[in-house]
Amino acid sequence: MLKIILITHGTFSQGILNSLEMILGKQEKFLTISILENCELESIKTGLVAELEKSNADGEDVLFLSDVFFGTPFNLITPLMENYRFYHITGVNLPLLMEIVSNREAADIPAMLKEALPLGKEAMIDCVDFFKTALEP
Amino acid sequence: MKNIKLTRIDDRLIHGQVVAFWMKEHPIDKILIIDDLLSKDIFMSRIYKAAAPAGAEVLLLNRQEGLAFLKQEPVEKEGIFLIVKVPERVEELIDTGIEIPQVILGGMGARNDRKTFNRNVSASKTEIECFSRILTKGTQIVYQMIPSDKPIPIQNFIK
Repeated sequence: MLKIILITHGTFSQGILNSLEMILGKQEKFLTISILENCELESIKTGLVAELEKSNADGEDVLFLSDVFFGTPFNLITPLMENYRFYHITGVNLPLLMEIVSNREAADIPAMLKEALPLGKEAMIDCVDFFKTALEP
Repeated sequence: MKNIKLTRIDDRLIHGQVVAFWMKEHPIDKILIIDDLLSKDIFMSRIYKAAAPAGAEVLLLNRQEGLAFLKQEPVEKEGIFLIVKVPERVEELIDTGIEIPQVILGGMGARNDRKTFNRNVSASKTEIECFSRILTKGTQIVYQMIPSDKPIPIQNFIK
């Protein structure tokens, strides 16, 4: 199973997991990390390395999810690319998360993520616009 | 001397949308990061160069290269966004004759040897002394995350 590590500013990671579990049930191998104000990033970095080492040893794939391109969580993850291989998607939203989690057991992870990503993007809809024609008098 | 449009102290460097917001305020085509360690890190240099927003390039130089670059003749339509991690880099430039009338402090992370002043700024005793010296030399320093925030002179809270 794909191990998921979700890192965000503040408690967004815990919040979005809570929302996800309301819809799809309890999740396993799903780690959330909240980057709080004034936290020590070095110790979080050490923890991430430990997680990657463990997954490496277990032959397990890791998917990092972060909230903002080049934000602090993103910047914690990218340096790890030098020595470790993993998947990483930023700009995470709930529809994307649902899509990924529903397909965690997929045999071909890169293909699964390639299909999931546009669905996450398409999930952002202007609703008034969407219903315009249907609601026309 | 090159045209420095904006100088920022932020150890997050190119931090997501924050940089994009600032770039809307000034005509910037070069983001210059002066940091000895990072300039030697080939891997991270490539990562940071990829972070350049459309229309701009990222330069990662060490202190000597940074100074030499800034001392060059200004180029028309070139605008530099200078980003450093600590006030000492600003002081060094001022002391070697680079004019920096204003510095925007965006963030310095919490560390064992630093006192925390607000959710984004912590500073050590030597850094606080460096800020004082920079102020005495005539450079304004304000704390401001993004342009729509009210700039706060650091004298108000870094003591």
